[in-house]
Amino acid sequence: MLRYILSRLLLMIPTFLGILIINFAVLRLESDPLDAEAGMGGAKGGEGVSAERKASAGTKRYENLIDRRRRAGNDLPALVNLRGFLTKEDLVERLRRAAPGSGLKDSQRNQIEKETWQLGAPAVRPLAEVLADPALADLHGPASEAFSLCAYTTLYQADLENLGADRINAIRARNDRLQKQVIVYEPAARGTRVTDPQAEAKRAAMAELAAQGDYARDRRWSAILLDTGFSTFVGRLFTGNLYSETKKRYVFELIAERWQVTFWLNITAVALAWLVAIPLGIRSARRQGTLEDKTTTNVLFLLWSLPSFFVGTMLLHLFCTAHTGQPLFPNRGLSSEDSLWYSTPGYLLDVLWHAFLPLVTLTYASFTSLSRYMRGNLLGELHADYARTARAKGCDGDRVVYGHCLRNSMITMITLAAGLLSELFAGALIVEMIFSINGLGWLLLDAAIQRDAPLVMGATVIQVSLLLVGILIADLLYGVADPRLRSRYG
Amino acid sequence: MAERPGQSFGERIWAHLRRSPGAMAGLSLVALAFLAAIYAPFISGEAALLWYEPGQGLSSPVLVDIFNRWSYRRPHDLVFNLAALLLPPLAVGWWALRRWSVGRRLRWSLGLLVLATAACWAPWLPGANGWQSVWRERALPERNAAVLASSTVAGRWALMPPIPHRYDSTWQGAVLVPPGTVNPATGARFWLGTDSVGKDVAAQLVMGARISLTVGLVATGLAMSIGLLIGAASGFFGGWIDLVLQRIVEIMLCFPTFILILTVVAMLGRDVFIIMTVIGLTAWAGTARLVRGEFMAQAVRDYVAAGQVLGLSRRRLMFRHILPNALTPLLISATFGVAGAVGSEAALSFIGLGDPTAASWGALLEQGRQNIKYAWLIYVPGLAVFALVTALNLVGNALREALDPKRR
Amino acid sequence: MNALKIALLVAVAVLLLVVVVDRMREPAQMQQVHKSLERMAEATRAQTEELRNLRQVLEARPAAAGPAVASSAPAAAVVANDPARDGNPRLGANFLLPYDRSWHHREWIGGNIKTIAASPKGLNPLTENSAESSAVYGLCNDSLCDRPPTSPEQWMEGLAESVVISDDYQTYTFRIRPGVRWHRPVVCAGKPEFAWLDKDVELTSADFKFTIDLIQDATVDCPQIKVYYEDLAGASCPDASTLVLKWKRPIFTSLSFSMGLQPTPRHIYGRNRDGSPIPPEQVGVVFNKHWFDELRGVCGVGSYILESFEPDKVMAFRRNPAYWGATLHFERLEWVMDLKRPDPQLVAFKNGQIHSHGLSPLQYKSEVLDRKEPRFAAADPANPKAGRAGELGWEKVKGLSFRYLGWNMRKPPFDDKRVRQAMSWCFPKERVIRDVFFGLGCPVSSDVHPDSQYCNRALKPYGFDLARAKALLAEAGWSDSDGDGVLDKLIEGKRVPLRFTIKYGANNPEADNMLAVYRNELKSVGVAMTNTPFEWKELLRIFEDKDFEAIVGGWQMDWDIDYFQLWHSSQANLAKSSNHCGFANKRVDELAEKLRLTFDTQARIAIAQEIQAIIHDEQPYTFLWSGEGIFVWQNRAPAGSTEKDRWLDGVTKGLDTLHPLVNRSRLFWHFAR
Repeated sequence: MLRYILSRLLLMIPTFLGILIINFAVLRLESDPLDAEAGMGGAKGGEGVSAERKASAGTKRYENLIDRRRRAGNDLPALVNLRGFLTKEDLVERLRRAAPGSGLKDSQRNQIEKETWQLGAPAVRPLAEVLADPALADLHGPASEAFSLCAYTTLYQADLENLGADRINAIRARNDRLQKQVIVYEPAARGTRVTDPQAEAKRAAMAELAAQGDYARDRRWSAILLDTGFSTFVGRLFTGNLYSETKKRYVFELIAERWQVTFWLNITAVALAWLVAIPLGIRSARRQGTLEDKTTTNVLFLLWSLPSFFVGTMLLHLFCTAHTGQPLFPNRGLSSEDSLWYSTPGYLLDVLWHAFLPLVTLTYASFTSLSRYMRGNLLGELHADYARTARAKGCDGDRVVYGHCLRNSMITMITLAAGLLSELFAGALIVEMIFSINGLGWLLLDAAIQRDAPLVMGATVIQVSLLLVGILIADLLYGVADPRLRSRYG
Repeated sequence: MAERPGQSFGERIWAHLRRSPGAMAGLSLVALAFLAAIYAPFISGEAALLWYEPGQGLSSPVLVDIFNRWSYRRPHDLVFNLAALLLPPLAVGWWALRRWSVGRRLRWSLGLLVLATAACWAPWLPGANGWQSVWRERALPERNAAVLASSTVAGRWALMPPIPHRYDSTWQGAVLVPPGTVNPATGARFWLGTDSVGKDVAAQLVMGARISLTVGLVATGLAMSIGLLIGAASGFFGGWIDLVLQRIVEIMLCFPTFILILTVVAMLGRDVFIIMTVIGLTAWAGTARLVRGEFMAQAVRDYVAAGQVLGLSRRRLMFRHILPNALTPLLISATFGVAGAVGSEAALSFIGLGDPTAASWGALLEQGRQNIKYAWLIYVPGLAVFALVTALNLVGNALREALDPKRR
Repeated sequence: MNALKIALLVAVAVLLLVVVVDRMREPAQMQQVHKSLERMAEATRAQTEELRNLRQVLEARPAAAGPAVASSAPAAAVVANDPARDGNPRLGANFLLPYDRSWHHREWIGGNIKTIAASPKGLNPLTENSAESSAVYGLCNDSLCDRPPTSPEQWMEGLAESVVISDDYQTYTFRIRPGVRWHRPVVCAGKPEFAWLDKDVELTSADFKFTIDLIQDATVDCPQIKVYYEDLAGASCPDASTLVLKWKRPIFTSLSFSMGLQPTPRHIYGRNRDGSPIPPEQVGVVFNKHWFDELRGVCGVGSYILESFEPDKVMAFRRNPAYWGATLHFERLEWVMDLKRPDPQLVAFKNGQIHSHGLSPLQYKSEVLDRKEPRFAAADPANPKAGRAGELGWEKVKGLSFRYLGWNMRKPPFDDKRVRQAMSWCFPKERVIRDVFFGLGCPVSSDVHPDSQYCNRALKPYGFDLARAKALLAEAGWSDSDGDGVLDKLIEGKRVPLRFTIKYGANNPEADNMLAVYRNELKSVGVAMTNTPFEWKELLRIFEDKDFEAIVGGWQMDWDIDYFQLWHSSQANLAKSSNHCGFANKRVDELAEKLRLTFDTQARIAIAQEIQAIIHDEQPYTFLWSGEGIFVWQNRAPAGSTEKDRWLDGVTKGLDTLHPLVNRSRLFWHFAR
């Protein structure tokens, strides 16, 4: 038994990793991570162009954005990190391409420039070499800027809590010093021109800073796979440190908070669906061919084809909009505003009143397919030989159905139930949207639209794990439902 | 069900479908949707079907207008418009060649359509104004309902489409008017009201059938092709190929697809062709699994062994011999797939990630979502999606019953 | 028997459920009780403090002043009707209007007002630049001087009692109001670790200098503010109540950025969490990720104190009892943040859970024009105040922004003035305002609102005239030579059709609709326009690369106009500049530079109007309209109260007395209980 579970778990690992990788890759398609922040602000209003445009003009110091990217692990290459092998020539080429007059579009040049700034510690040595070379004087301005940003040390939240005050102050002082070493330059027709009178002194200071820092190259081989966006992400995932920069919260905290809303709604909906679907399926199967069975089957079929967004909107339109007088049902939320002070039965009624339409919308979609399956399976079993034998032996109908066939037909239902755990997690997006319930679905939609990678990833991971656990439980339940299958567990 | 020897696969299905009223209802609804999509310019449009101008004789502006790139800009419109022209001769051919099998006639018809479409775009065909120029921009037809309504020329008469409004015309002073209102410019009615710019909802509904069907067909076609290739490879070769491919299939099966679609669409843009590609790219896992099962079952049959002994190439063995046997489940899942894709597109639009520039049902629904007070913007597209999905599901159901070996 | 059993079972289950839910709700209820107890204690404290202030004021006042004290505020030395203090900038003397609190009715104070807002991402006073966080600081902090809401072109006393400008508009000397105290931040109150914060701190000029130092510190991440203070030479504070700002050159923008400066609490942002001071050279680095921001705290000197902030749920403000001036009328302001879609927001308003709100054009159409909500009074074209009569009040308010279609003047076809003019003649402005925005828009013909004093009203707006557009295009050499319905022209030996793509932001149904109408009009002239929506980020890139033929955009307008950023030719080819259409005109350059150096209002108006005339003729933009909104409010007193008239009075007074362009949110000023 244990061995069976273990082997199943082992098989799940590649699936899990595969999903993580695909999802990660999709989210990483995002081309310009540094500007994502600016983009989010503007997406709100139509008139937004103005204020944002005014705001984006100005100085270009990027420590904070780089800080944010580093905290999210987004400054690192996605899957393979070859930055340890950067040479002076690579950086010279990058700097040249980013300089004015390189023939590239402005946005492309800015992009290259920002990518250079994100290279981090591995680029410090080569940049120092560029700065030490007097023949490359035209690049010293941007190179010093990149140098100060690459050598910048991010203080993570954990650092602030764990490192001593002295150490923190030392790091801050160093960052401050780095900042002061940027050589002033101005764009020229091709390339840039240094206009800083203290350029020499700054170059010397930077050489010293580069020598001081820990920029050894012995880690570059291990960094190829271990120091990538993906590995950082997985690390954060397992330590629960995923942090959403758009919501400024820890992802799992946020999800847990929102899940409380969605979870109750879903679990009630699923319970209701099963409560309706199974008796309906059994009844229908036992009366196969009668008018009642035909009506049920056809109505269920129509319901099954009804898209839930349409049903939800229709219900909202019919019952929650005041055509004349007061609408029948509230159109938002899961409880009244002052419900905290209702008596408990009153509160329950209030919740029921609010949740009624969302529950209807959620339930009808699942119970139609469930009872169709139930009916089909039970029919198959009722026509099987053993059922006929039992009946011939004089078992009454109830006993045949409940004692023999039902158990066997539960196998498919268990498979269906396996998917439920994960559906619970995110299945209610449309319903939440229609009835304005501030739950997990909204959170995910927001995250997807704002491309909040950690949040989307966190949610996906939870959903996938729930699904995999569901499958595992279903596998075990097969054994309960059908003793013949127990032999598999070995 | 008794099988006549020599009865082809298609005929067998057809015989079964004919006996199921649900299937026939579904099929006729689907056919109706296709006809509406194909003949959309003749059902709703501003170009007159027939126009008699005293002194100039009879003309048919709509026949010119269906090749006007001004009027129909999206690539799928080209296919549908050509189909509108080719459908009558094809129907005649279909009847004339009734001794051919259904499959053969189907292949020929589709082939002709594809060829004609390609020819319209082909730049190598003779003359600068050769075939290519069939599909180009022309001045908009002046023989339309608005002109007719205000005309005083004696003896002029015209046959207008039943809805004399184009799907993208914006009528002045007719914003969000309820169904049945008369359009003062043309004298015709807005049978299903107008939307928030003053476009006729009925006209958009007809044109929307094109987009919905295209989304369904393209997305499902994509999913089926990927699923078929992966499933076939996995089932036929077995071994480590199977192991790897099955892991991939499993990954896709466990994937929270809707979040993925949301993310990708939010990222790549809200073009209707991107949407259908993304839906297609995420929906193939089930098909792959089905095909694999069929291939595995077939690969151990005697005829395959015989083929191998005969030295047939693997490709020939896979696609000429095994594939036809695996077509059954593929056909069923394709029918449900089309229904699913139509629903997915509408749901995406509903969430606010649909293509706002396409006249799709989803886009109409998005307008309804934004203002629930104008009921016709919810019910018209909602019921249209519901009808098409139900019809497809009915057909799928009937196909499953017809082809399921357990029930035969 | 069976039925009885089942009934019993159900009853037991329900009972169990009730008991369990009862238990689960208890902690939340208790928490709520504690909160309200705390609030009560706080209110008592505030009351005591207010009494103390009042006594101080009375004691400080000569006995002859009599009983005319209506305000709790330490009265500023009011100089009644001093003709020299008219609010228009002048050298050498204090020109500020006296602090005006005529709208403040002490007996109205009280109550809780709820409105809808979006959740601010962060609350740092400098590094956050979203509209939400600036709204928070608008309530919780004050600036040196203010624009009076009745005449926003002038300046009024604020935290500064007086200002003297000298040295040809390069040196500003402010006298800071004495006795202004910083809030005690609620997030830190009552926590033993923040005992060091539990004292009254007075506002001094050093707080302003601290702000300036932060802004000018290279490490502080506030590029959006920095750019405005680039010309500032520095700040100094000779004593605690004097602040001197020195600018490098006399530039007009220096005026509003000197006067509009808000202080930053030095005693919080200059210290570590444990109260130890941060070394001066590190203040900037620490400021970006300060512990006070992690606590989601706000500290200001303004009329409201941030009481609680739960992101995405609710944000509450409480009246500052120790405020130096006159506050709004409400005891508490509550911002509801969990309603994100317009429909539920509207329903919440209609159910009375929200007190004031704004309607989108489509909602205006359905609720008011189509009379789907009978409690709104019907619209009456003859009477703009008709909406005030209903049980729910509504009124149209103007906004300070405009939309435009921008034409890229760098390449054909829009390098030709006549083509741009023709495009403008083709735009059915009136019809789009009526059909797409349902009348919510005020046509503009330049980038200045018609209600502003700078507007050149003599310009004749471009109407909708297709014949004129056709004539202009023909004059520019465009004709349909191949009969395909699209105009074309021989450019450098090639027939080029008049076909272009207009780019605009996605998720904007009004823009979709507007362009659909415009496209149909262009079609009938023979111009082929394709409209392509882009996600915001893509659009930013397009602006950055100037990679467009035509584009839909919008700008906020400002009280002080400046033509340099948008229209100066030096900005045309700069990366990330705002002159994305490539407008270049020698005379405009000259005038724009001159405008920046001119401080006299009349001279400024003359220059601005000349620039507008040139831009109007050149049409680099097709100016569309300035946005308008529908402000709606609960037009009745809370249930059981007899204060209906007073309630109404507050809003209508605001609507009637405010300058028409003052932001809708300032209507709260008059929103009495």
